[in-house]
Amino acid sequence: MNDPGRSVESLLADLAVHIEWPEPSAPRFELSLAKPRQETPRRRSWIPVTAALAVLVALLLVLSPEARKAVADLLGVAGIEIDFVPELEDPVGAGLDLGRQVSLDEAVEMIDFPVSIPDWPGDPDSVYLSGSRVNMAWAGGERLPASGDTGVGLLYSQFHGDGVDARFVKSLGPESSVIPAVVAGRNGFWIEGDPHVISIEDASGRRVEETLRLAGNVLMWETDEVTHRLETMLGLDEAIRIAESMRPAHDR
Amino acid sequence: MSVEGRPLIEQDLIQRARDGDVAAFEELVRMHQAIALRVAVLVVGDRSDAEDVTQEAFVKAYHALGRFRQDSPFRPWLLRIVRNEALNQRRRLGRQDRLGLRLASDRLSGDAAPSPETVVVAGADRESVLAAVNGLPDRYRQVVALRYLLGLSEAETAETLGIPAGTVKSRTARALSRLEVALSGVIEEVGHE
Repeated sequence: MNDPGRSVESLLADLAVHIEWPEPSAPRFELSLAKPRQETPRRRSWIPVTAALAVLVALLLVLSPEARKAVADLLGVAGIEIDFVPELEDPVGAGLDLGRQVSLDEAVEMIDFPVSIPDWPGDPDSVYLSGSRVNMAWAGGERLPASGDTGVGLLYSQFHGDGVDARFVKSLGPESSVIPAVVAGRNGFWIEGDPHVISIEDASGRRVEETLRLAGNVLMWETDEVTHRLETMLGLDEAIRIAESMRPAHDR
Repeated sequence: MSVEGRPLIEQDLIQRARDGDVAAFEELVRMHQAIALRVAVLVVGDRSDAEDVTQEAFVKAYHALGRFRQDSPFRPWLLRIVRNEALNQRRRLGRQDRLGLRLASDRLSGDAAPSPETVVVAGADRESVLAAVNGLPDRYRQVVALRYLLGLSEAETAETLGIPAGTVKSRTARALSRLEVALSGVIEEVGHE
């Protein structure tokens, strides 16, 4: 082969035509409310997509929540399952002044230090860039209690820093306490009790004000020239587990 | 369907759907459901999960139509919603980030990307190609899957992944380069067929 790159492309083209792609259930797209429910416990056919849209949009705007539920039940009997999504939700963390929303790939591309993500809860729901700082937000859920009315369960920030140490934490909100913590052998600290603003003097004597967004707890630690901060409603042990599961986002 | 421009009929359908014409949106669903399902399968793997994801994504897309910029291509805008929904689903399910693909046992699918050249590839080698693609870091794997397995253009891939077109270009080059190394044995074999 004179052109190996072209050979790779031809192998990929061959692969593409041998993939077992699922096909949608089209063309069965007619809206048929009379159609009996099919015994497919998990899989929804394509009929619901369009049927749900047709009926949903017609009825959503004029019915009360109770009536909407009744309509959903009725349509369920007719073989249609509807998930009500009244509005496209704002991105997780919107309104917390976290910066410009970007994709995770964009963040990895644009930031000059290795961006990390935790094994759990996995890829963030939203990523924001504020200068050279990366902020990631995860929606609250069963294992990730959400903070107040923000809906955010975990906020993870990464930025250049000169070291964090509990001794340098100068001020906290009322009722807050700070204790030293170690994350994967690295220095850090844990603040619990709803801190509002923390003021830190880094190793070079520079004073850093950190505004807290969630009324929760904070774990901060450092790796090579990068300061990491988790804000969460979880406890110290769980926060450390998340912190120690960090891996480079570009390898995900 | 053109890549950069949209057929007039699609523009008309989008406008009608924005004005509340559900039948018009149904037609858009019909036009894009196959590729949307494939994008979802690439991320979540399981077909029924992918169907759920695609359904959710279509409903979200309908409600987000008001924010769609009419001078931009519709398909990648939609596929980005599908992919984001699929990523969320994958995270909820705690799945691995491998391509959820398997090879057809003995049939050829005629509607995939056309081969730029005819090659004879043994089944075992094809498995190797799939394994090599799966072995790529995610940022390369996704680009390769969208560009070569789904036949999206560079611009569509960029929009779907939410990254600059230049990044798609550089990642494609690096991915092909890695695959070339990983598949050197297969390339050699094919070259002598």
